[in-house]
Formats: sequence, structure tokens, C-alpha cells
Amino acid sequence: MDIDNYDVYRRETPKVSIPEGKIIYINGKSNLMYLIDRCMKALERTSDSVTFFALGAQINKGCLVLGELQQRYGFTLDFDIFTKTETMIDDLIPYVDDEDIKTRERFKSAMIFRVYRKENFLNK
Amino acid sequence: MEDDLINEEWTFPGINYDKNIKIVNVKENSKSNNLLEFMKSIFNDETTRKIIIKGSDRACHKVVSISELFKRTCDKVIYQINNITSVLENTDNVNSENCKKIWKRKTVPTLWILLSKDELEQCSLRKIQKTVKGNTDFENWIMHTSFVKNSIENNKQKKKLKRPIQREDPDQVNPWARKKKIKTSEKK
Repeated sequence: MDIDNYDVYRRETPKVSIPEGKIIYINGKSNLMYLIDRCMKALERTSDSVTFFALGAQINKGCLVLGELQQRYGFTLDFDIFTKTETMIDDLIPYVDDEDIKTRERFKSAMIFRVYRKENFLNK
Repeated sequence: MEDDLINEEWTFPGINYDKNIKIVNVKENSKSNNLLEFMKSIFNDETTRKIIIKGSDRACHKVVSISELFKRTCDKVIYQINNITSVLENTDNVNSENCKKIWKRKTVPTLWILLSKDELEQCSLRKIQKTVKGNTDFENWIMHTSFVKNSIENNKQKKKLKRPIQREDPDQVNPWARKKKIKTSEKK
């Protein structure tokens, strides 16, 4: 589709509600060590599991987080990884007043992974 | 290049190592169309049952994209397992001014995705995701990986509530009721 005569406005990705555990969204500005610290604090104190959401290019950062966690706590932590396709919606607003506002759909790959303690290391 | 130096073997929980499984190595600048055509030609062959897609460091997002595109294209039911391995790498930077070597530590993650035509029975349900014509049930995966049944809080015994205090005379004024506060100005 030709976008020369349109302003492109990207809608925000809808977020999924998960009933339990801590949820962390990874975006471009998230600091790697901060994400890891946040995850470990949640596991030590409040939650049994931490779920990370990474979208598009941030999957690289998500993999880095997983790699670091594996290096440090691979003996005690376990990971479940899920990949899926997210539908992104853009509003195309024309420069000319006569035309209508259009909508287009894009696909983006997303990775969701869950970090939790292995069964042997649960405090009971 | 980093990918050439690091040689890792794939490991998936519950799957035996097999040399015959084709591994698609995704680099940072790989062309998606070429890889997709290659994967289609391999997967259409009836003897091929499994494919592994691999990419490390900055190619991880491309690995996910390629697997998603492939699953959308393929008409069959595909079972998928994802795994991540990581390698510690030491890089030395020679600082020309001070003539000192600075050692930097870096983690290089590698994302492995296994796509299979057959159902994977030996793996646990939380590791597997099932795709039918590009549609994946995310809520089903969440239910499988749920911790509500196994959570620590459920195992704790709930504290028994004490019985309410019963008085012999119900009309009796509550002795522990809060006494009315007398203002200072009224004290005379």
C-alpha cells in the first residue's frame, strides 16, 4: 500500500491478562540488568513465576535476559518459551480532506516466556 | 564471526539427539525468502519429520519470525518446542592509549526452535505448542503452565477462625466497646 499521502498512527498492542504471577513487558528502553533484578525480586518475594512479553526486535533482548538467567541461575530456574504472531493495527490518516481514514494490519512476531523455580527448589 | 567460532549441539527436553535432523542456521542478515523456500522444500519431503531453526545473539528475532511465517504457510499440524542455550564469551579490547587489555564478559544466547510433524509425546505439555494452519492457542498454553494448582499458597493450611464471643446475657452492654471521648471544654 502506498503511504506517501498518509500519516501513519500505530495503535498500542493489546495486553493479555494472566491471572497469576508477575508480568514484565520488555520494550526498547528496558535495561537488561534491571529486568533480571526485577525478575529475581519477584521470584524471591511475591510470585511463583514471572512471565515476560517481548515483541518484534525486543525478542533479542528477551533472549539475552533468558541467557543471563540461565548462566546465573540455570541450576534452579526453568523456562517455558512460547512464540506467536501479533496483529498490529495502523491508522492511515490522509493529508487531503476528501479521503477517508484507512486502516491496515501488520503481523509481528512475539515471544512469551515464563520463568519459575524447578520443583526440587520450591520452599515448602 | 561469532557464529563460526561457537559450535553448540541442540538439546531439547524429552527428545533424543538425532544427526539426521536438518538445522537451518539463521544469521543476522539472512534473507527470509531463501530460508523459507529451503524449509518448504525440506518439509514437503515425506521422510523428513523434524526441522530445527537456530539463531544466536541478534538473529533471535529473525528465528521467531521465520518459524511464524513457516507455520502460517504450512497446512499441516505442527508441534513446536523452543529452547535457549547460552555461552559466555570473553572479548579483549586493546586500549591503544594505555596499552592495556580490557576483558569484557558477554553472554551469547542461542535460540533453538524444533518443528515436528509428529506429535511429541515424551515432552511435558508446558514445553510444546501446537499450531494448526498458523493458529496457536495461547490461552491453552497459559493453562498448562499455570501454577495455581501447585502454588505454595494453596498448600498452606488456612487459619481457623475463632468462634465469636458468646455472652450469657445478650442485653448486656459490650464491655470492650469504645468509650465515648469527652472533650476538654466539656470537662467542668
